[in-house]
Amino acid sequence: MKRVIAILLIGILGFVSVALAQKTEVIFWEAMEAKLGTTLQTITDLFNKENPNIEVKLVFVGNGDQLDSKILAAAQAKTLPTIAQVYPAWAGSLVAQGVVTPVDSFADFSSAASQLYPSIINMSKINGRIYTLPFNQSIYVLYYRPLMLQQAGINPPKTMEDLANDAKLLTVVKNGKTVRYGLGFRTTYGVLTAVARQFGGGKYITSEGSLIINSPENVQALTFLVNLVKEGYAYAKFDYFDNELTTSSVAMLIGEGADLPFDLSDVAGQKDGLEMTPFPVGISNQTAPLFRGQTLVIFNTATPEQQAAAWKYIQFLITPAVQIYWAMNTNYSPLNKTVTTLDQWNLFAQSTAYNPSAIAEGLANGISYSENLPWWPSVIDNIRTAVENAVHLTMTPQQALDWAQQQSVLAQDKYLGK
Amino acid sequence: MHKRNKYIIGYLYLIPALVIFILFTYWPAIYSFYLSFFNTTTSTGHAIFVGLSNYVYLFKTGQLPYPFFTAFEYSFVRFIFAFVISITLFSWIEVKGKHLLKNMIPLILIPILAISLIYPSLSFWGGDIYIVLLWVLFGILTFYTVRKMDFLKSHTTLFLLSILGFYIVAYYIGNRNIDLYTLFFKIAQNNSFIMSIWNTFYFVIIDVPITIGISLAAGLLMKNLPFFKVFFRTAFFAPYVASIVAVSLLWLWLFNYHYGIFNFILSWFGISPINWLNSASLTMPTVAILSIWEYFGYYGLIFLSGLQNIDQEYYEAAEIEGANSFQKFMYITWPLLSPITFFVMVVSLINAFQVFTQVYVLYNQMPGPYANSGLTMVFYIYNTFYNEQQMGLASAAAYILLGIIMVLTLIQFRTTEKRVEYNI
Amino acid sequence: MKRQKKKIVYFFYYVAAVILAIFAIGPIVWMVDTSFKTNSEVLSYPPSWGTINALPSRTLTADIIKTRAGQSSNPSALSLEALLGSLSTTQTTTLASPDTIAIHILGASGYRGTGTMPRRGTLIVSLIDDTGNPASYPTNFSTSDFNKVVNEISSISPLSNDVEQSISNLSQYTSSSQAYILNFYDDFLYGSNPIFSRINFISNLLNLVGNPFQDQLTSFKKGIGPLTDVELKAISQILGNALDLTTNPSTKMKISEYLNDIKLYLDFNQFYEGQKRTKIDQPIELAFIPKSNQLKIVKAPSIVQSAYTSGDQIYITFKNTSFVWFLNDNVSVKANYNFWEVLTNFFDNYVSAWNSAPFGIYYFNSIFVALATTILNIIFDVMMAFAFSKLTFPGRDKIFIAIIATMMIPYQVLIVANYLIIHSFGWINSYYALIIPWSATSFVIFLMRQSFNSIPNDLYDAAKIDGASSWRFLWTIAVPLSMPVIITGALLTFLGSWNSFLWVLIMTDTANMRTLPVGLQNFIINSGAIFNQLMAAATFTMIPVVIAFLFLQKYFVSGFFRSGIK
Repeated sequence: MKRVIAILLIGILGFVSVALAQKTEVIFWEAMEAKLGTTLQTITDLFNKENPNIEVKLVFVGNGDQLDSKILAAAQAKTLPTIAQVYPAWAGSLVAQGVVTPVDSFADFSSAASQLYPSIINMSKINGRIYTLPFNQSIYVLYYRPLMLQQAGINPPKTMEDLANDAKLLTVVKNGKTVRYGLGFRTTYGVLTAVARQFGGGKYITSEGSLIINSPENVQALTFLVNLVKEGYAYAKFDYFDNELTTSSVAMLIGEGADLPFDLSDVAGQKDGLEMTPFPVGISNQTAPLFRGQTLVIFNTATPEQQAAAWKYIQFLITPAVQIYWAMNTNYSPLNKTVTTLDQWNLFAQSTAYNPSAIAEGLANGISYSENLPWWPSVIDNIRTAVENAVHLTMTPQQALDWAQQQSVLAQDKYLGK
Repeated sequence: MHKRNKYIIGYLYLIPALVIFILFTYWPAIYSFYLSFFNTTTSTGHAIFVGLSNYVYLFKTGQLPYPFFTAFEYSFVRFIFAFVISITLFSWIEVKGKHLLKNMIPLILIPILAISLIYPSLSFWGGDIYIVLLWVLFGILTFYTVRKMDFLKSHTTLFLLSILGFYIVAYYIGNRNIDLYTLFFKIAQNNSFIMSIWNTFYFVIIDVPITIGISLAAGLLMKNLPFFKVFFRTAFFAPYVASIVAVSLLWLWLFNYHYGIFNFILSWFGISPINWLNSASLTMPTVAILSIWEYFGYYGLIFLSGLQNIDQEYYEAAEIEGANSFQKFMYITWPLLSPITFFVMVVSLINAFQVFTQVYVLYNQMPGPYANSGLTMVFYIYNTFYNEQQMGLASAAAYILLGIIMVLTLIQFRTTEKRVEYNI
Repeated sequence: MKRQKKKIVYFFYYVAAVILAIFAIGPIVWMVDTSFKTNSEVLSYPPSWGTINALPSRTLTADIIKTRAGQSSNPSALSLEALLGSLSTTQTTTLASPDTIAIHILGASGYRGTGTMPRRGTLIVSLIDDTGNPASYPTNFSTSDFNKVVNEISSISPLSNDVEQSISNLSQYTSSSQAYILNFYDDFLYGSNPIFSRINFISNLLNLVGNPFQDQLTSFKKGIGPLTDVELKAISQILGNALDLTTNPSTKMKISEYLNDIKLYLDFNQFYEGQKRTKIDQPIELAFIPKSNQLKIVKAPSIVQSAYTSGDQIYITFKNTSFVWFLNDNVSVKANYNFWEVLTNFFDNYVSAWNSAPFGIYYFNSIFVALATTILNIIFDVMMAFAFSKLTFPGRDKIFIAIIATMMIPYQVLIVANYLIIHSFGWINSYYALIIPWSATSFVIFLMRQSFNSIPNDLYDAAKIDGASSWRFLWTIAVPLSMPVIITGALLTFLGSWNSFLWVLIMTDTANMRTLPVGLQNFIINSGAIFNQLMAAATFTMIPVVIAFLFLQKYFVSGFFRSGIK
């Protein structure tokens, strides 16, 4: 009897260990903060439950920059994970280093791709191949305080001209001191690009691959922003605007869809709230939405089994159910085409400040805010500095962008080894 | 044989720590130096030997708004102006009104120089010949006056400060657009590395003297207070034990424009809120306030230990002579404390040059609110390393930082060597 | 006289010392103070010292949610599994029943969108009307009156397109008066695109009339919320005047359409307001049930059936009474706490900060790494310092200078090269990477060497003659004699390791290897700019070292003293 039990035990142990050994481990380095992290964890837990032979492990590395530096060091030391979440520019750099498996090399890529908006697929083209899949993408929108607009008797602006006029109407000056600015915006690369898109610019690289940061359209867009600041109708700074919103010292704010559950949450919970409207259209009278976000890469340093498992996981992430859950909990844009047709989506959109039309427009014809080029981080840096210099009036918009152009060309040349 | 054994024992004692220094300090230092001659971000992904071009790239100035020589001319005239006025002033003090005529030569020159400053476009001030002329005049003058001036010799620092002061005056009354100082800024605007050098020096110049002043005061207080010594000691030292992340977080809250306690306290005095964290001109002072707060207690303790090392007999003797507190400080404490002061200066200078984490946490991981106003050298290195992946360039920058720290430390050693009192 | 003078001097010393002490610990005190506050107190100006978290009761600002759209069926509140379930059955989620009133606790939101209303204690909810009296509801609502008014308003014509559409839609609800009323007010006032929204309605009118009526109407555009009854009456007056002056028949037609719209609404509203009502004479008292969304009804008027909570909203369900009767009312909410609940409130920020990141692990790691680093440092540094001080061998002073020179190298400069080295040892994400590279510190070696220098060489020679080895002399005589310096060195290395940031960030991958500063930094990123929890986290990362210093500080001072830096 004892022997039988012993044999049984050994058998069970053996079985268990074989079962354990068969589990493919997928390491996912991510920088999903707070609610993003818990949401992703919930999704991943479900995936692990549904796929007993795969174990996806989430490793929270810090914010995006910290993750990037980790990946850099890991790429040097050949200790890369299976999947990582990276900024597009970094994807380009990793591709150049030859450590990325293109997602279009997986068997059922085309069926996965057909579920997504073409704008999303186009975003991740590098040298004609699809290397990565965008995941957390959000669209530039305009936020406004509804009560302030009501008090001024205006509707949310629809065009850039309206935006300028409304900013003027919403500005409050008391005793020669501005107590409320009509518009707030962050002096970032993304904001300038979003505005420049409405002026027909916002694309910094020509089809031949040369840089045009100081194109007339871009200068026009920067001048538009700078004039608002000069006239005292807009307040610009690099930092987030959460305190300006809680103290009601700005009435409108250029932001991203995904800001809502984060920096803007304090105000979103207030009585006079915060609402979202599509980005005002520019001269062309057509919306030119801009995505900002990160993309998922699968590294070829992982074993083929791990890569296959990682691909399975990514496919799971873009299913409609996961996408709607992700979008509702994080306010990132749903990338799967079916999501906006679901009843649940419409119900959700009605019950929050989240404006579904703003998101739908973006999904249809948005582009990525960044090029997939290894030296793009310095371009982002240069353009940010140019915006800062222009907004703080140390340079004219033309000078500032000329400077950014010159600096970026230097960085490009350095990379290309000129 | 015996001797060799003794040597070996000596080396054996060194081994554990030495291995660690070699592995984690010297070897990485050599490796980084090696890297500084390579371009690591290239399209092929392979590092290419580029010689000194990383170092050259760091100092690339781009298009200058006007030639360097023009800026030099303007600055030179301003310098002479400041120099002449200072000499005049000092000679006045020296002779106390007597033999005025002999020392009046500079006074005659002043109006000419002043006019040339205010109206730099005047015809007589256009060609380089005047510079040579001024050089000659200035040489004669210096020779005549300085030779006999004991007062000047004993107050060199004051004299240098006076020149600086009059230079600033000249700068403000003249054409401010053209000056070496202005040119430097124009260059810094185009070159973020030069900007980072400027910011770091700016930080060091604010941070180090104030830190030393406050920590010396703290040390003296801790020494002289009859009661509650332990309380004050703990209070002063408390900031130092907190991690810089927690501290920066705390000051982010104190400096908050809308809800911060600082702006609230300022409002008691009728001062309108200061946008501490969103102003380029306040970036370095803000970081300096934080650093001073964090470190003054630590240096204060070092001063305290130095003060305790001073023999009480000196003070007792001085008291018998009827010296007051100030005199005791000036003639006993300060000279006898000079080795400690020197030590604190060196350590705080090295520390100050490494400023990084404060900016990183205060400004949301950015180099200041805008215009790279918080870009310090370590931040530049960090940024080139991690955000731009340019390891070669970053290593080159790191070596320049290292060079600056070494040169300054050496200068400190040289200049203070003679003056530090070793007779404790 | 002299004593008098001395007193004055001491007085100034103390003034200076107190100012410096305020400068030094004022920020820390403010940090601790902030760490006990609520979100709304943190975001208030001027700042105050106290916190309502210490009080047994507080008033919460609250608002009745006026529309039904998507309420409580907001799918974002669903779990992933529930969402998958609802997607597969293709059944649309139903709206919350119309007999449930939703109350939004304002100002409770924060910490990145999660409600932070303390889920404990009892809530006292009072519904009040515009005049401040208790809210009321009709007890015997007359269906015949209702049918009469519905017939009346249905006969009004001509109407503008919007209103006509709305009335024809509403006709499906005639069997349920409460659904009719609810949808009526949704359409006219509170819905997502109400008919009497200021801007749209007035803009329509402005297209019809000329001056001076345009100017008179424009002022109505500005204002919060939909047009009020009084405003609507004023507008209809102006429109009436305009109608008299208009000659264009199509414009005349349009204006009269709008006049009828207003009349229709006012008629209906008069009927609604005119109902005989019963007051809710006592407040509704609700208690939180731990780990449950249900609220216990402690004391309530008979019409209250049940209550539950979700996020920062409270839902109260009535018996046979629609929330529609409270549409125009306001709400005031007061919360009461017992002693334990006050205590829990008081430390709420600490508990939530501690729970929102694995601070337990960070704590253990910090302590373990710092202690290990310190112990290794003492051994290695003492050995090296002793060799530099008391032993003779070729190149001794050169090596010493080489070691001291490392103080000048910012370690950030070497970090990537170090990463590669540590990786080649296979130490990434291990305690080795955090401990070994820091187990020798040049500054401590320098201090210890100074201290050993002050031990007379004669003592060492005497010991040698007695037959003691240098090793034995070091540990039995030199080290005990230099204890303060060693404690100082230990404290400095402990602090260095405890506070190390960039290194830990780069050398570790996972939370289980990270220490407090990196954990804190991650927490900052995670929680955004809500400072009360950040300050709580900062406070509990500081405490152990502050306590350690309190005990060791006298050694610390004499340590520097003994090292005799000169």
